Amino acid sequence: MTKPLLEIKSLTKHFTSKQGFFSKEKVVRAVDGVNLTVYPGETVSIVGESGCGKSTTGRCILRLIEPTDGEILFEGNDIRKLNEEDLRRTRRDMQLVFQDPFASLNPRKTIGQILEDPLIIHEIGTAQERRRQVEEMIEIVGLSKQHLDRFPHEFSGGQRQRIGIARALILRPKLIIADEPVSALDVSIQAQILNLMQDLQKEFHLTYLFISHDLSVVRHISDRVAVMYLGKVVEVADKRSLYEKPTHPYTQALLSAVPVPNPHVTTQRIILEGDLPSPANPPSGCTFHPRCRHCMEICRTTAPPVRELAPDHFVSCHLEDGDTNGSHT
Amino acid sequence: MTAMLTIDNLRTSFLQSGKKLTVIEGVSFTVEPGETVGVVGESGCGKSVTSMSIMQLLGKNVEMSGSIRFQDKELLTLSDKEMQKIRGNQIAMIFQEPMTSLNPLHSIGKQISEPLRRHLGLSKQAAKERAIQLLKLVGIPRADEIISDFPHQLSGGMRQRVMIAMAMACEPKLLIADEPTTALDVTIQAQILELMKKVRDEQGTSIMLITHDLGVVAEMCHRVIVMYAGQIVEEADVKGLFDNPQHPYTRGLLKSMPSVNVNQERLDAIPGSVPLQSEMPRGCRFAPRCSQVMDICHQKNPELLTVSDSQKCRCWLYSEGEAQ
Repeated sequence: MTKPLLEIKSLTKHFTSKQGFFSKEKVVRAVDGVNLTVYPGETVSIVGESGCGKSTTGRCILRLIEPTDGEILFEGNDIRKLNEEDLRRTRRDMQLVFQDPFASLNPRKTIGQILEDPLIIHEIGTAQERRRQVEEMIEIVGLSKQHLDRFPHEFSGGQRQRIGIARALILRPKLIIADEPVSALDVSIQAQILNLMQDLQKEFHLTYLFISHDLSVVRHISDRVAVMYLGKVVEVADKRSLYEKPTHPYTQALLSAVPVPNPHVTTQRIILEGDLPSPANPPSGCTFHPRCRHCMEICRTTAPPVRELAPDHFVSCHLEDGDTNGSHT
Repeated sequence: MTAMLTIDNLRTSFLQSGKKLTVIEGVSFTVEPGETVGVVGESGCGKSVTSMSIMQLLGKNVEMSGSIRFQDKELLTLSDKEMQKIRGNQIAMIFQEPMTSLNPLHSIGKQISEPLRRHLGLSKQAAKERAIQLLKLVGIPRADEIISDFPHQLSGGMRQRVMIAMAMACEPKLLIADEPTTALDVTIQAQILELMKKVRDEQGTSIMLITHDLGVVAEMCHRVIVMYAGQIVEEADVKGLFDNPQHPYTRGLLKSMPSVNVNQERLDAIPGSVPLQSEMPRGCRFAPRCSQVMDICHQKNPELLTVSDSQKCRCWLYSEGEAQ
């Protein structure tokens, strides 16, 4: 069996906030015991709604946010134990692509400088070699050499995202964490970027951790999918079982909520009542129980364990197999 | 029966440092009573400017020509005062960003009461009672308490419900919804779409729904208008649009969407991007990105032609006689 490239074990991030001098400290459980394994060459997606902790998880993996607890093993080494210098070296192998292509490129640098910076920071090559690499990379992502002397504002959203991807790729990393890389883009441009990401994955043997709220995009790009709710992973499975046999009531509701672009189909929609509870004050037991259609007595008091339903299909719910499938088609 | 809204050859231009940028180029369509018409297209296609033109919310440096008729009334020639009587009363609007379109300094109750007092002349007390009713109608729990809350105390979904309550306050005949669910999570979006359908069916409101999400279109709309670079490129009833899209842009749009129900190997992306306002191609505006482009497409912009009973399309592929 292949060794995992990235292994996250009970990753936890609690933000604390103090509102007044005498008030009690408030703890926001943004990420609350997340386990996830990513194998080389695959695309694993984390999907969930705003505030579920998916972006925080992504940032914790790179230690852009210091996790509160847990282990992050990258090629077997715990990233949390590395010192600054070793961490910087490890980050060469794991790069981030950001959501907002307008805010993530320095407006005062040319594209050439933006792409060269990572090489300078990691002390790679001479000026000449770096220039050659930058020129090569800009063409790989579908832009041309002439673009290198321009500034970010001269590009459209889709082009900027290509630049963001080029910057992440220039160090030839093993893992790319892409945080909502296409959600700011129009559909026709989104398709271009998704295709580019798939081509690059094949060409450079990349591993993607793809963070998104868009269930259609996730289905398209992923091999395996993890669904997060209130800081916890509630279901993980390979793409096919997750989309065709969703088991957790939250996954079912999430999938049924996506409007289908087919006027002949009327979806049997599971409408979730109410809003997402605050992660500062999560419900007792299973955190999904106040919105769950199948809520039982035990759900209010005890957090459900993670069970393996089928090989590689994990769910965290008290319901027994098959209980929930009757109502979902 | 007269149409609720008739737009005829609308042109909207912005005047910028002596230059004139025409953003809407000859747009014509109607919205019938009780009908939901979707307007789809990518950023910069002019769908929001169309709606702002109808509401006349574009400010000073704007030139509009053509005609916008609301029932029998021409809106383009109305004075500001007369327009104010219609805005928020007979025509209401829901905006995309519920956070920035509510006033952070006034309580929810005050904001919902405003149109009621202004247009319907209700007393303070009566307006408050009606506001509570409206909040209950849009499914807000504890409406009598929430009414004194401020926008920042509510979640995104709740705020959008408040926006809908506000828009529906005077029982408008026409509702313009500009990306009403784009800023919301899918499960909340499902709640809001459900709510809009309920309100529409109860009050018989006509809706002009602006969105980029074809899933929302399939779910909500009777008829659809596809816009590209300031022009309508296709108009069809909702089934026609999805079953038998005519314009290469519409087809491209449908094919470039990943599906939540089917596994696809690769997406059919439309190459290139939308042309800049200042660099519009001379012929068909979609020609540089079109997979079926012909010589004539680069020379002359095609007309919006009727291709079947329920479908219109702006493309040289459907006007062979002229093309040759």
